[in-house]
Amino acid sequence: MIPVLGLVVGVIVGLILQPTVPAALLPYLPIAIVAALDAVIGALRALGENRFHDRVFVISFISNVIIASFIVFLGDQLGVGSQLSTGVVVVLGIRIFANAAAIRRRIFHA
Amino acid sequence: MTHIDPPPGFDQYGGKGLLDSIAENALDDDYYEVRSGKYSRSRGLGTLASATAVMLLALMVTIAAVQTRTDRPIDELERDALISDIGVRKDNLAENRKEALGLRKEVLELQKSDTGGNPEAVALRVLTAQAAATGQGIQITVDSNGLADAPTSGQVTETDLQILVNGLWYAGAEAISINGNRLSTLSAIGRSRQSITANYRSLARPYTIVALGNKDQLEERIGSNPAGKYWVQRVQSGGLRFDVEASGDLAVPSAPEKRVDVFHAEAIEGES
Repeated sequence: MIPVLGLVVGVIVGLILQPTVPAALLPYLPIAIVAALDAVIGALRALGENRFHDRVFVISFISNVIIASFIVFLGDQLGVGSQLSTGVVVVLGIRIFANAAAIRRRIFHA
Repeated sequence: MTHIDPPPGFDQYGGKGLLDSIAENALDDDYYEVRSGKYSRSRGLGTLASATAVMLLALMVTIAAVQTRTDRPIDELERDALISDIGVRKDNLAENRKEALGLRKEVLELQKSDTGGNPEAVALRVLTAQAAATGQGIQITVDSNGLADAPTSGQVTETDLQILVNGLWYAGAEAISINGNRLSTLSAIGRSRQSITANYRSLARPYTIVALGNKDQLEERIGSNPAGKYWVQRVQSGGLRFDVEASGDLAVPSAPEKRVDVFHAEAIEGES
């Protein structure tokens, strides 16, 4: 229940405060979101498999976001930002779909 | 701590493709760690840490969505502003060009109208080919020998005309035109593909050169100076046509505007 509360609080805080992201950080936001989504979907799967552990979840969440952002930053510095972003999105996307498929299998047995 | 076996199909070091192994490793390995005691089962969903992480995700998504929505009109406004800016500057440029053209015309008209009572200015304008001129002089008509397959010696070349024009200046000509193209101090006789050019305009055979000056003096000198002798030789060897005709009433037009304009050179005050 508490995580759902966190979800609601996050949306409400974002809507109320509407903070402006500095232009320098703007390119990292989408990648950070995809990385965080990967951690959350993975956590949902672990939850279904009775393997969930909050420490693992939080650490994977933070490290995913930081590493993904760092790769994009590195790509920007090397002049291949879009290619590296694409690579990150492909890998994380595959993981998200694979985990979602595992959840689906568990719930629907299909 | 020991690792339990990975899920079926997991092949840690086998020859699996990159994408396959990514898909099979989708869940972080940490979740597969066997934990002793109270950690053996799923735990911690309801903790503040999990909630904070979920809240962070929700916050990021909301911020990104809000920012994208609010940025869109700004981007459009910026683009519109840029487009209108471009339009304004284009109009500005066109106006300036028009103004420049008008001013140029005005300058030329003023230059042309500046003939009243100042004989020095009139003489200068004749000398610089700014004004059309008339008077006595000679008219020289030159042409190739007319044979279609004539060797190069039977053709009038730009060098022939250059030598002839130089000879005419040398003989005392004050104004020269070739086929109606007045030669100014900025004129050149050249070649463009098959035809000879003067003032960058193609000339057609035969070439009629009008030179104003003392007609008797011109006729006599062009017959005896090196240019004339060169042409005598050309006539003998190449069969070219070279007719000289003195006349008391000849006219040359003014040179094209571009050949009388001065943009960069400036007169030095007090020197002549």
